[in-house]
Amino acid sequence: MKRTALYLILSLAALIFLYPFIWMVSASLSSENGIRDLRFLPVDFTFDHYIAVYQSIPILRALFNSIFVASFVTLGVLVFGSMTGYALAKHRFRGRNLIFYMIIFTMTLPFQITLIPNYILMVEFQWVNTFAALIIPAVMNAFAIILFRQHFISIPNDLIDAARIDGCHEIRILFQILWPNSIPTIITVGIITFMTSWNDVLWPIIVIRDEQLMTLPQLVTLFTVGGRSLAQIGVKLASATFLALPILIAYIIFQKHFIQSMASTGLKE
Amino acid sequence: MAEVRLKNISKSFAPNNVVVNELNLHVADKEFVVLVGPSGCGKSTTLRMIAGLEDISSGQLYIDGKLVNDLPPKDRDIAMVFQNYALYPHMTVFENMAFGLKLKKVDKKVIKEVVTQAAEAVDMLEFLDRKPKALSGGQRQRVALGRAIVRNPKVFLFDEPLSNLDAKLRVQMRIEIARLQTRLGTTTIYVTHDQVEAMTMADRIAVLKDGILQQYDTPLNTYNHPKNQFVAGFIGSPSMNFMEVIKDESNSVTDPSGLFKFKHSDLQLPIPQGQKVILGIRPEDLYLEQKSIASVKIAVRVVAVEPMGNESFLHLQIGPHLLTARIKPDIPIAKDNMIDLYMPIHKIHWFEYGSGSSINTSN
Ligand SMILES: Nc1ncnc2c1ncn2[C@@H]1O[C@H](COP(=O)(O)OP(=O)(O)OP(=O)(O)O)[C@@H](O)[C@H]1O
Ligand SMILES: [Mg+2]
Repeated sequence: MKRTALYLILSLAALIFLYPFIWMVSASLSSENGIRDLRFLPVDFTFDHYIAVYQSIPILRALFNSIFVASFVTLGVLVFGSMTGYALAKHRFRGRNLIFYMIIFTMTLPFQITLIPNYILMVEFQWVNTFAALIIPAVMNAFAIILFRQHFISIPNDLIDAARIDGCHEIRILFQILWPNSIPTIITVGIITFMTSWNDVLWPIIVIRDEQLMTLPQLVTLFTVGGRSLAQIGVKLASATFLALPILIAYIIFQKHFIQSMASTGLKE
Repeated sequence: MAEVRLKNISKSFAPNNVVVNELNLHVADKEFVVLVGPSGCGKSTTLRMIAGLEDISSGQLYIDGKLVNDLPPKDRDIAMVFQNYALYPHMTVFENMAFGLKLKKVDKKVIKEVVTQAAEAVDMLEFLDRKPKALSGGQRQRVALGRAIVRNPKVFLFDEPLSNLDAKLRVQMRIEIARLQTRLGTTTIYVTHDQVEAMTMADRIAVLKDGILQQYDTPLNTYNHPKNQFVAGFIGSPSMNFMEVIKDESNSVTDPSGLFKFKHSDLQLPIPQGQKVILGIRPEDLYLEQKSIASVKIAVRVVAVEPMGNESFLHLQIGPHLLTARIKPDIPIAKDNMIDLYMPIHKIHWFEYGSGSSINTSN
């Protein structure tokens, strides 16, 4: 009895979370007139809205741009985050704690504060309207550094010393000894970085104006709510669905790792 | 193969905090040297300096006659075995052993051969495909040992390799390591907390205290002729009994508060009358009956009896001092009784009060 009630409540909650998304997908596949009905299944099933999106904006190009940018940002964050985390966790040098606290401090700053200075930097570097503006400022990430540092601290020093005696230099220690023993951390940082980079709209809007270089969320946002937005709601919903699709697929693939990495504390020995 | 020479080696992690102090140590070729000392005395630090894992603050380190102060660990031709095994968790036993050679770009066939040989030597041949997680502690330490052998180093360095193992396994591994070292003839420096390991494995024992070398000698010499009170108390288990006494007029010493007095014509101490001195006697040198050697009688109260099966420990009290005596197991002695013990005079160790240096009485 109690169990049934529990399931009922949980199902209802799930429905509340899922309904807007389901409606978006189904509405994007309905005819413009059928959208108002708030149904679960498409009314007058049609692909017209998707075709319209495809014809009015370079959406495939934007998809490629997004994948390109998010991949390089993720790669950069993993490499530089683990390097910095390794130095902070396992190397003794003067000012180590000061640097660590400064990195934490940057996390507490709201991004609005650094937005304008960063933009001015991009202008000075002449990176406006290039992928460099999207990728390079994002590859140093305090959150990733802290996560890697915390994990590396739990790896015994003797393991690193053994590797040194075996003839590893620091880079090799990082990638051949520490990385294979940090898979959950790498996946966690990777997924979070990729999603954050993928979903970012504000920064691309500031530094990218060329339509050919725009990321998917940027393009879709401008298309649906920006100055160039069209009146029909179906087209907007189709582009929004298109935007959500890749991240949804990624989540389905990595879901297991994601939950695992949140649950396990990682290497124990 | 190689000798190791430490010349005035010092180490400090921070100014005014000397962890190893002007250490001079010569480890001969093929020699097995054991470093012992209380926790924090700088044993691991010394070993890590030899390995190149820690910078040497001052002094020179020679391996095989070559100054190696500035060489990285991999170029020092050493192998190290750690207390917690330090095996790479993501590699199989084979890969763990082969890793160093692979980095040296040794031919694959040669690697296979060398690793197989080493695995055979440590009896791990059938586990080559396992990951460390699937091995017991003893097996893991065998792999670590194998990894050290594979490098065919000039020097083996061990930092308490057996202290994570249970008592029985420790005995077994101790014998195996000793046998292996003899067979390979590799110069070895071995850090341990374990008295038995130190006594049985070492050619020479180096006793450290607060980063200062106290004595460097054969196991039996450190046991029978400790250079100072610290070494005397540190080597041997249960440890030596100490009593603070005052040299009296003629051939006798007394307790400062006059509770007891030892007097014998053989009791010759080369120190001025009225001076304090430390008397040391090992638990096994306290006898229940008088032997035909010059002894002094000592009346004690039995505080506790600990039967160990093969022997018994008596915990005794005389004046303010607690003593331990080691006796045969089947002698019935009850708690709280007063008994007489006999202390052979030539078994007594004398140490200067204050400095703790050994006093030579065999004039
Ligand atoms: N990286 C370091 N930074 C600062 N002090 C250190 C460092 N490593 C060791 N020490 C200090 O040096 C001293 C000697 O340490 P070491 O590890 O050599 O002792 P040990 O003799 O091996 O002790 P144990 O028997 O407990 O292993 C200790 O007081 C320790 O606190
Ligand atoms: Mg130690």
